Amino acid sequence: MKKLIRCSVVFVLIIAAGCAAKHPRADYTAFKAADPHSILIVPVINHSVEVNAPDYLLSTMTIPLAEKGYYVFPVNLVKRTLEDDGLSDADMVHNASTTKLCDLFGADSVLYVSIERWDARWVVLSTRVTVALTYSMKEGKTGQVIWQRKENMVYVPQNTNTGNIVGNLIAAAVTAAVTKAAPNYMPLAHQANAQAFQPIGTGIPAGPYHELYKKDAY
Amino acid sequence: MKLLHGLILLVVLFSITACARTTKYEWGSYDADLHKYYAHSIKQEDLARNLQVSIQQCETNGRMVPPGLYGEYGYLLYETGRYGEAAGFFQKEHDKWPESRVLMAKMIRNCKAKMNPDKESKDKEPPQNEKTD
Repeated sequence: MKKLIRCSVVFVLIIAAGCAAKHPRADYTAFKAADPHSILIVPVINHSVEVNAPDYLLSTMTIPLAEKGYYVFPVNLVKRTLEDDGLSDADMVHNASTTKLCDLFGADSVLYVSIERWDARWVVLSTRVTVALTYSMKEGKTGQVIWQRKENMVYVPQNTNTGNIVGNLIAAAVTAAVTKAAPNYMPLAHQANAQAFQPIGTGIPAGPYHELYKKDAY
Repeated sequence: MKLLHGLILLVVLFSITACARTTKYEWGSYDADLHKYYAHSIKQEDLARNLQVSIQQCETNGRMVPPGLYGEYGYLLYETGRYGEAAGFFQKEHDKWPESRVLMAKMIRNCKAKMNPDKESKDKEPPQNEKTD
């Protein structure tokens, strides 16, 4: 009996170890101290050649963060107001003082996001669609970074196997052409956000409107 | 036989709960519309109309209007020169979400300045040219 119990304990430990996140846990000391209730998402910096990518990405971040229990400032209002104040350039906003920005909007924290890659590239008979993003959250009182993350999402369309080489080549060329003409980045953007914000231990801890507030990362 | 029935019921229940989309708030088509608006595939007025519908739906169903939506809709009204109505929605956002108060108070002041340019001009509000979309 004792042996059985010991065996099952070992088994449970193995399972638990297997489930443990691959990423090291983030340090939440600064986050806990700041305890932000609201997030100001400012316009996104673009390092890709896709000019509309920053605005598209802006439309994807409100929902996951509000669902995490934060007050998220209306992104379109914020973007237009900044433009009216002469801050139409995202680089200018990112370089401006976080403390001043927070004072201006009455925000507890600012989320800065940069697009590193947002492209579709032809790689051996198929197109790889890549979205790579850098996230950084700073608190309003000191401007200190309280959370950061990098995500790199790649999508390679499945090639259809037609059973012969010529058929395969044509099928691959067609898939690549379709993806090249209208690559859909949005699912990758949503996935990147989910992977950045959600995981307990590396994501953004639950905010005050969430039932896990002060329970998940504390 | 009873056991089999029980099992089937359990499986069905599991699959139902697995499929249910549990979101805190009712967002309607907000994110998709914002994307389409930035892609120029819908107009400002379409974005505004859909927002108005989803706000109304939340209100009539007694569900919480998601954070930011009153403010977002208010701004679209503001952009089209409907300052009085805009101020009303900024006020709603202000009352519902204490975190928004600083910004919403500013937006309401801007609305008043637009409606009463003479009175507010003392408050060093420069006369701004109206935005048309």
